[in-house]
Amino acid sequence: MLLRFIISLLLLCISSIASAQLTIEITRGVSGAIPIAIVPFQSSLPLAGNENVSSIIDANLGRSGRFNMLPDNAQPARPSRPEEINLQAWQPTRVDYITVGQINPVGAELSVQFTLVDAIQGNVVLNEAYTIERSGLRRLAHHISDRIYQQLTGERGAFSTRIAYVTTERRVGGGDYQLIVADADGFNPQVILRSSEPIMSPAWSPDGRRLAYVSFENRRAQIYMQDLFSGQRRLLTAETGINGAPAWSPDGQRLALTLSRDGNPEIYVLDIAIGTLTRITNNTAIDTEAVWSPDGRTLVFTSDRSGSPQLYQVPVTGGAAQRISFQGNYNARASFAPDGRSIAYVHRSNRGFSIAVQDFANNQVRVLTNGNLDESPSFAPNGRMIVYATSQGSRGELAAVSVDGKVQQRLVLQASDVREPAWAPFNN
Amino acid sequence: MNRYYRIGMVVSLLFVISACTTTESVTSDAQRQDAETLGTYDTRGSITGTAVPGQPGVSDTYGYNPGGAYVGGPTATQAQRVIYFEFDSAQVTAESQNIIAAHVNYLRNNPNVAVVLEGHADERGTREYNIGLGDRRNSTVRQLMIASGVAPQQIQTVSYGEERPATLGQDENSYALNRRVEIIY
Repeated sequence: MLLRFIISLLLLCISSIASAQLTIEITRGVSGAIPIAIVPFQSSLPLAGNENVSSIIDANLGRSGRFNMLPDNAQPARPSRPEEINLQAWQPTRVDYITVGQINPVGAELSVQFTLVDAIQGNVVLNEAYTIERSGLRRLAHHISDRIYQQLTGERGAFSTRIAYVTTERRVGGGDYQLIVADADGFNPQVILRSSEPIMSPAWSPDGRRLAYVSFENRRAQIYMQDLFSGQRRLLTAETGINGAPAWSPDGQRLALTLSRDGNPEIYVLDIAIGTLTRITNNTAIDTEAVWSPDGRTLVFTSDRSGSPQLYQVPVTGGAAQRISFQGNYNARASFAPDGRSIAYVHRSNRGFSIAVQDFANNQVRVLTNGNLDESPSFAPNGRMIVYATSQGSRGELAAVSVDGKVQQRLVLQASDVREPAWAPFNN
Repeated sequence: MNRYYRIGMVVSLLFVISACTTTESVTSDAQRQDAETLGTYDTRGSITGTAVPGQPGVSDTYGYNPGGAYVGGPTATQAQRVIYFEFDSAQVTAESQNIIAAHVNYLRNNPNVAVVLEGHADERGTREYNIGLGDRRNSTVRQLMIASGVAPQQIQTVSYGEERPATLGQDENSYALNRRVEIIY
């Protein structure tokens, strides 16, 4: 018992744990998806499942819901170069596009070539070659997925991005907590922080290098910032009372956060370099869960000043807060779309708590999910999907939904209770 | 790893030593009978009613002494140290006022003793808002205690929101058990 206590005190380190992985299940697809075939790449080397570039691309594009993938066993041939493709043989499959590729050793490295072909016109759409280390195969597969996605949808793909989330072994009184960063498809989970006390509210810096989060490791809520590359941690705020809900400004210089040091939870803005705090709200209500608009000019936050939690918007420079949510009696925990035109948030109805999206232009509210305990919405950096926390019985899980509500995915962890997902920005 | 073990041993030894020194005075105080505060309290506060000091060690099974009184201080059982709340509310019920009064009594007579109020919420709703709810419940209890004569520096607060449930059930009864403030000595 004492040893366990010691270990949990001291064992705050970055380590690579492959035991707990997310698997992705697509529960609903979408019509209007682009039919495409990814022909298994020809490789002169045997590849492990984790390195199978074409199957990773296939899984990525299929998971986005924007493509209908032609299964391997329905493919009439195995071309690996565009000149080997017999278009007529592929016509019965009704695919619009075919991708072929090769992987060959070049010295100690690998050369990966792929070609995206228009199956109707017959012309080459994309033709690229990469030379990489073998350990970079998975990342390259995500990059190629991004290339194909962008070429065919006109939007930037989010396959090379990461998500952070908190897991716990669910026990009375809490449990052991882990803050994890994984690829957006759930692979390569890395433990960023391990603690016997609660961890909450992970938030990515705009450059994707740091996470701010709330940790109770000193027996009260405090906000830490951790550099993911160096592992360095810095205690940012340890005021009396609540230190919560950190949110980065778009320029990465400031954090909006919640402090109760002046009597009740209020929103403050912290200048990270200098350490000064600027108070934003002054109200006997609970004011918390602030997020920045992408233009850096306003904050949207949760407040129960009207009697129950609703969303309010206030200029960062100060001024009166305007209420912006009007449907139902519980709206909280907003997350801005990257283009700043809408917010996702937690909305309570007769059914319980679900994720809704509200457009600023027309104040239209669309409820996207039908769970009863859904929370913590976070936009993908291409604005196309929202990852959120849902529950399956008493176990917490992550799920993703497209912003039009048409595509849903469940991310199932083999064990533990998963909560508070945060989708990282693009790796620029 | 060996080095960490050794450092850890030293660190936890220091914790244990410091913990020991603060609890010594508390256990001796608990033996005292507090006869002078029978009856109503300081009328500045909103706690009324009687709280008879109890006999440590007798009340475990029932949560309060068979005589109908509530026990304050570190020997109070778990049930005697928890205040429950209605959904989305921070209002203190009449029953809770009795529980609080017993601890007020103890703390007024032991001004060197401090407590931590741990505030909680059930799992419904968003996490950081629930931290705020736990904090509001703490504040309500803290204000009551201060208004009844406990020094502010004797009361610290921590809100855990929904992060440390007392029970994992998802029915209304379980939720009710999670909406609470615990008084920790």
